[in-house]
Amino acid sequence: MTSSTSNHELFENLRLELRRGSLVLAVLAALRKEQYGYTLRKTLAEQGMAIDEGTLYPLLRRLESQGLLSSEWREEEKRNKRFYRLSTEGKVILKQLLAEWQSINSSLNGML
Amino acid sequence: MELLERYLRAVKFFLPRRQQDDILRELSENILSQMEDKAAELGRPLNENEQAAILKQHGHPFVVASRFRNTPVQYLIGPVVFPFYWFVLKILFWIGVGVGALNSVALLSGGEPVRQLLHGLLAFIHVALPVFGWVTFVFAAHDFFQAKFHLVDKLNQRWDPRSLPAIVTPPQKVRRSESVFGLIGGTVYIAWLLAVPYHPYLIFGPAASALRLAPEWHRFYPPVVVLAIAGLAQAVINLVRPGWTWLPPVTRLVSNVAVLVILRSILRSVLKANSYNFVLVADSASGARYETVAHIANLAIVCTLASVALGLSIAVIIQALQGLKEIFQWIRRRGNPLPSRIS
Repeated sequence: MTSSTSNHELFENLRLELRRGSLVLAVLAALRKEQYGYTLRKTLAEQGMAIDEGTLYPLLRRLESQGLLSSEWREEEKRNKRFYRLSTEGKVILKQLLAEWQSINSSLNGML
Repeated sequence: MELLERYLRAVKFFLPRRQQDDILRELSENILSQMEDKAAELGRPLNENEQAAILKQHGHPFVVASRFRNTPVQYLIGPVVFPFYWFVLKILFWIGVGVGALNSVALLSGGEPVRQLLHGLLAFIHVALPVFGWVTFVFAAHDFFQAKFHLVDKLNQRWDPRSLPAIVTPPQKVRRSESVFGLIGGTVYIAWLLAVPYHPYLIFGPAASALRLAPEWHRFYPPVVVLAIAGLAQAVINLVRPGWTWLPPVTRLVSNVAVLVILRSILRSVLKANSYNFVLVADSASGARYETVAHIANLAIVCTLASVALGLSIAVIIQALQGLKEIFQWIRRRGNPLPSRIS
């Protein structure tokens, strides 16, 4: 394995680790407006937060089981789809997480 | 959409039973939406390859299903215990290699063919696999109970930095007193060894007139004398070169391996002949009185030799590890004459 390949791999791993922490924040923020899985994924990708299906759909279910999201099956374009939106508890947590994120951001800006 | 149905069926197989329908319904909707989007973009229905590409992008059914499982990440041996587990496995592996190497040396010295060595290797694997299994089982059980009773948290709370072991600085020189003692002890031992053939009293004491050593001993006498001289030479060299800290452990190791080879040869000849006459009655006229003494002495010698062989086998393994450590430290000191306080 060459040094540049291993550096690239290392960077990729660290980049993914860094983004992983922000994904929950991005999903909660995007679900202030009701959406179903596929459109949510498209919205996130358009905003520069591309996330693969294998990560997003289980994450939605986990956040729902934690009470941060609520969902309902509804018909749209003649098909039943599961729509997610931020729950009341989710709104509180999102606010706290945003404050935390801004604090981290400002600390990092101070260091860089 | 047959391909999609086949895909969903495959995912279903790996999903938790209670959530199967709910997850599949949602997954199916999301994939269908994606396929419809793609078809709208192309202006025609998707062909099989294009459908397969979308499904491939979602991932292997097993991987997709595993992501929907809510169970926490499971380990047989968790990250806290794993370094200890790995350390123990490595130690046991090297002990196994050491025992195998000793056995090989003994087999070669006994004139056994190479086929025996291959048998030895197979025996090593035969022993190593169950050992690996048991060690893994013990650590997995330990990890399970540790997680169940929060043992790591308790340990972390009770831990006191002052209880850490003191730093032991490895000796940079062989002590002069050690070399002098080795020199005196070695000289006396060699003198005794050289005198024994002419003065049996030095072994048998008052019974010297009636007992004598069996002729087999003569075969092992020269190597024993050579080993004693080697020990003496080591003491002399370390008097002149105290910085050669690797020499004592290496000499001990080589001597002990040689003694083991000799012992193995003795014990083999005992087993082969099915008798253990190390000490014989010299004077038949002395009668049954000394026969009993010789019998007890022979029995004691066999037991002692077997115990010594066992003890030495363990010692040799430990000494091999110590010798390697000593050599490594000696080389490091040569490259870095001022060792840092924390290494």
